[in-house]
This record gives sequence, structure tokens and C-alpha cells, in this order.
Amino acid sequence: MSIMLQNRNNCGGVPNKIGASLFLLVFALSGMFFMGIMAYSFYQGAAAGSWVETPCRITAGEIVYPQRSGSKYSYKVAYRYVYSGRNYSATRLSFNTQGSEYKKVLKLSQDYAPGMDVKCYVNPSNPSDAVLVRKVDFKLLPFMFIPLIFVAIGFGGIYLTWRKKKQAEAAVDSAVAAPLPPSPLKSARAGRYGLCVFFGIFLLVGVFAGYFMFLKPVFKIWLSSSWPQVPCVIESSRMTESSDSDGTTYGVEVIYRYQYQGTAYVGDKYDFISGTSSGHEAKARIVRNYSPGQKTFCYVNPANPDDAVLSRTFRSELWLGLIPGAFALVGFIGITGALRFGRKRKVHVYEQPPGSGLNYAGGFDGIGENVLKPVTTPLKSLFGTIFVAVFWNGIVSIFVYQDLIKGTNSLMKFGVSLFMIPFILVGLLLIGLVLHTLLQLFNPRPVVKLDPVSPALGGRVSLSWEIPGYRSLTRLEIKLEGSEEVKFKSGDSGGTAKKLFEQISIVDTEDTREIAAGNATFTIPAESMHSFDADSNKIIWRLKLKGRKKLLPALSYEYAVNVMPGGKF
Amino acid sequence: MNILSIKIKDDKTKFLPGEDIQCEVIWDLQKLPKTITVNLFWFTEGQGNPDSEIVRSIELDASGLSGRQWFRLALPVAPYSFTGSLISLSWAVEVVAPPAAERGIYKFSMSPLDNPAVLKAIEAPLPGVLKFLSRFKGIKQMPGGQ
Repeated sequence: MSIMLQNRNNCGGVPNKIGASLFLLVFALSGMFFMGIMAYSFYQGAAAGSWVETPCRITAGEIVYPQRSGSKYSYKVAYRYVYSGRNYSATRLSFNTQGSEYKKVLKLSQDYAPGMDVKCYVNPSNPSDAVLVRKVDFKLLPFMFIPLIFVAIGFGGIYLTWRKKKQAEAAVDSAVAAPLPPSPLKSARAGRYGLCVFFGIFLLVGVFAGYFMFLKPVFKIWLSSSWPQVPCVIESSRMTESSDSDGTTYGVEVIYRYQYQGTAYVGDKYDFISGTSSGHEAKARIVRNYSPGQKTFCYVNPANPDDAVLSRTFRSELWLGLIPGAFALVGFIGITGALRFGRKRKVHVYEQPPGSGLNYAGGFDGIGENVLKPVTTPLKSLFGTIFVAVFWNGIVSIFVYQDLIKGTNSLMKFGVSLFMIPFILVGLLLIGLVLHTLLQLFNPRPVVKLDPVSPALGGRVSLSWEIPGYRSLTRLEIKLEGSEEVKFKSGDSGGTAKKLFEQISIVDTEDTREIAAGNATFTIPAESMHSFDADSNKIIWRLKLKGRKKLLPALSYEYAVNVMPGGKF
Repeated sequence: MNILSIKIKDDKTKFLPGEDIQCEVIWDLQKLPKTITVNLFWFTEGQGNPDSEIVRSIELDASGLSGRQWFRLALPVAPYSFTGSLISLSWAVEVVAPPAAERGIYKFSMSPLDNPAVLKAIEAPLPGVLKFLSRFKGIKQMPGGQ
């Protein structure tokens, strides 16, 4: 019987592919757009490297103070120069025209003060174009790879979408459109690496953000405990703002002057927390405490006297810096799990060892110890549920704290409250689950033995059990269940499905003596199917033990049973 | 046009686990093949993503553009063929002869029973909450699933 196997590379229809391609194209084009902007900015800085160095004189210069709390300082400058016998004037400081922190701008104002003779760099093809600072911003380079990821996902996705179609068409065109069996080892490796990359991003982001938000400030607080205290005078103090779609965050900027070992310095750091965060009132209080002209003390780094702070105490908002730690933990656990999963994965070599017609090598774990191990223990479940509950509620609590407790806009508060209700309910449910799992720790631990521990189809099996502390149980049920379990992909989504095909009731008793300990025998039907464990399709046999209790929660354990192929051939 | 086919002696479609199968490969190709390989593999069909695995491969002596060759393959002891509500598992031998795109395939079943096992979905008990709700809403047993 020569047959034609159905092609299994079902890639969806052409309209779906066009839709997916358009979506991916938007992805790729946005990436290209942002990469283009960054590349142009970098190119401008690099191109100025070939501009002609020319003497010039600063004619005017002033520090532009921020007009709004969200803006930064900048230095407005004008200069004159002579190029090829002609006089020119320009106002461009550098290609990076964005504002900066006060100390940087102050340094610029000192380096390019009015009346100073300095060097400027003139564009030979357009001599009216010049800059004072032509530093290439190499810091920009790594960031150019971020939009590149979008470009790669976009074009890579389009390529893969249409490449699949090509393969499918080729298969249909061929006389026998049979699928080539995939290489399970290769696909497992690819899946494992994919998971590692996915969780690696979590780990990197968590470690990176955790370092800057928590470790670095805490380390500097610890280091600064030995810094000398020197008098300083407050020049200005203000709150800075940063607004985006998630709301407004606030920072503190205090500028002060101090002297250390006879040299005058300017400081602009209040403490070691950089950036902005929620909590308007706390920042406003700090700003109120430092009014211009006020005399106070600051702490100076003796190794670098330009580095100073007004406060070296631990602010409570530093604890927020531990949140990225949860991301790092998820990443670490995910990578470890992916690698362990890969190592443990079995290769199904259904070979028949010489001299034996019945052994089933390779596919199953060792045979011998006939005490069954539960699929999961209450302690493992407790750790799992605690982790999920902490992770979920940690994230939800940030939004609750920021938008509901600290937020000022009442309309927004109402909207956010409505939006957050389901998330908060899930969080509460998870807390309930943690308590439920915690109570299960106090349940009795059954000991279940199977002989043989890996029974064959059609074989007689002896089951024995013992439940220490059984007195709280009013009923005991033990069943053996066989089920088909599949993972499937449908369009862009996927899922799992499960169907029971066998259910053997072994024990169902309310007799306290039988609940305490007992044994039973049963037969696994010969006309059934042995355990089978492929990537997406599985035949799973489980022994389920349930003990009803007067008080919740009930006793519930599951044991995986490896059912072997039968021996009647 | 390339001709590449594989058939089993007596057109047998049912085998016992561990049994030997006798196959014949016939080829008539336009280009000299690099190799002629026969793969014995199982594969799944059904609701899940397809799985398959080659359990044995042999290379035939392909010295000409055309020819035929008999050979034997020993089947492993598992997995058995079966038909379930979600999964069906079958066995096949295929022959490939690159660079020819064609391949010949012969499908069969392997089971210790007269016919592959048929796994019928059975009623699964409802989870606790649904069982409670079923008293009021008339929710019935879930067919096989949970």
C-alpha cells in the first residue's frame, strides 16, 4: 500500500500571511526609522572629525536655566572665526543640542566663556557650519542594536512566513507529499536556546536595572560613610519632572557650592539616587529644606572632591530597586529550568535489547524502587505558589501605590481603579491559594507502592498504600487514569488538550482500617496503549490518590506510572 | 520523470512489535543519486502538533540510475500504533534519493493486537467547583476532557 501522507506544514491562508507580513513590516520599518535617526546622529558626530580645526573667539555665552521643571540646563554660546580669509560667526556648541545637568553646563560655561580664544571645527564644504565640541558619542552605538532587533524580527518573520509556504507548495507539487520526520534533538536544542534567550533578557534587564536602582546607590551610601563633612552653600533647589504615558515622576536637584582643601567646587547631587520616581510630597519636602543662600553641610569624596552629596541616608524608595531582582530571579530560574529540561529530555530509542523480547529500553526511567514518587509535593507547590503570588502582587502593588495611593488626578484614579480590579482580585486569589497550599503541608503523606513499578499492558499489578496520620480522613479513593495529552498550534495561538481514555477505580473506601493501610490488585487492559512521551503528543498514566477530610483542604496526590508495552507477541 | 517507490512483501499492513519486514525499493531516476536511504519511522496525526522519529535508517547500494533492491528491517518493540480521540500513531518506511525531490512511502501499523488499539474518550469527573455549579446550571459531565 503506497500512500500519500497529508502535508503537516499547515501555514494558514495567503490572507493570513499578508496580514502577518504587514504587521511585521510595520515592526521592521519602525526599527529602521529609529535606527536611521540614531545612525544619522552618530554619522554627524563622526563626520565632524574631518572638519578643519580653526582658531575662534567666544563672543557671548550664558547658562540657560530650565524654564519648566521637566527641562534641563543648556549653554547658549556665540563665536567668531576666520576661514579662507573670510569672517564667519556661529552659535552651535555641538551636535548634541539637548540639555544637560548643571555641573556639565557650568563646566562648558567655564571652558567657553565670553572673550576666550578657543578652537572650533569648520565644515570645509560649508564654512558657515562649525562646532566647538566635536566629540563622537560612542555611547550611542550599543543603543543602535535595539531597533535592529525590531528590524530582524520584522524581516525575519516575513521571511519565515513565506518560506514555510514555499516548502508546503513544494511538498504538494511532489508526487508523494510526505513530511520529513523532524529531528527531535535539533528542535529540542533550538527550543532550549530560545528559552534561554527569552529568560536571558529577563536576567539581563533585572541585573542591569537592579544594579543601578539598588546595588550601586547602596554601595555608595556604604562608601560615603567615611567621607568628610564640609560646609556648603545652597545656590538653588528645585524639583525635576518626567512625564510619560504612565504618569509623572519627580526628582530632586539641589545646586550648592563648597570648598575642599582650598579649591572651590559645585555640587548638584542631593543623594545617590539618580533619576526620578513617584512621590511628589517627599521630594517637595526635600526642596523646601534647601532654600537658596542656606548654609548647610555636604559630604565630599576625598578621592574625587568633585563628587559630593548632601544626604547619605537610605531613602525608603530605594527598596523599589529590589523589584528588578524579581525579573532577574525569573530569568535565572527560567534559564536553569530550560537547561535542566534539555538535559533530562529523553530520546526515544525503542530498541529491543538482545536476548529479550519484552524490555523497553530508553524511553522510561529506571525500574527497581517500587515506592512511587508524587508528581509534586506540597512543599514544592507552596514555593511555586508563593513565587507566583509575590511576583504578581509585587507588580500590581507598584501600580496600586503609584496611581491609586500617590496619584493626584481623581479622574485618573477612578479609571485606574476600574482597570486594576481584576488584577487585584487575581492577586487576592493567589494569596488564598498560598494559604490553601500551606495548609496542605499538614496533611498526612501517603506511601504508595506498585509492584511491578512499571507494569505492562495486560499485566497484573499489586498496589499497596500506607497513610500515617490517616485519622483525619473520612474516605479514600485511588484510581489509575490513562489520558491522551497534546500540544497544538492553531494560527498564531496554541494550546493543550487532554482526553481520558481509561479510568480504573482501584480503591474507594470509608473504612478507617482500609484507609490507614491496605493493598489491592488490578489489571491494566491489554487493548490499551502504553506510556508514550513525544514532544507534543503524550499518553500519560497517572495514579490518583484522594482523601476526603472533615476540614479542608483534601488530601490529593498524583503519581506518574510508566506503563510498558505488553508481552503478548 | 523520477520514479522512486517502496513496497512491503505481500502488501502487508499489520505487523507485530519486533517483527521483520521485507521491503523492496524501486528507482528510476534522471540524475545519479548521492545515496538511496530508507528510513523506518513512526509519526503522529491528530489534533496535536505532529511528532515523528526515525528509529532506523539504512543506505542502499545505489550504483545506477535505475534498479530495485530487497532488504529486511527489524521493527522495534514500541511505540504501538493506536487511534485515540486526539492522537493517532502509525508507522512507515520511506525512501529518499537526493537530489531527487520525490520519495516513496509505505504506511503500516505495528501492534500486538489484531488491530491497533482504539482509545475512546470516557467521561471525566467535573472539577469540584463545576460539580457544585452543575446542581444549579445543569452542567453535564465533560466528555473525556478536564
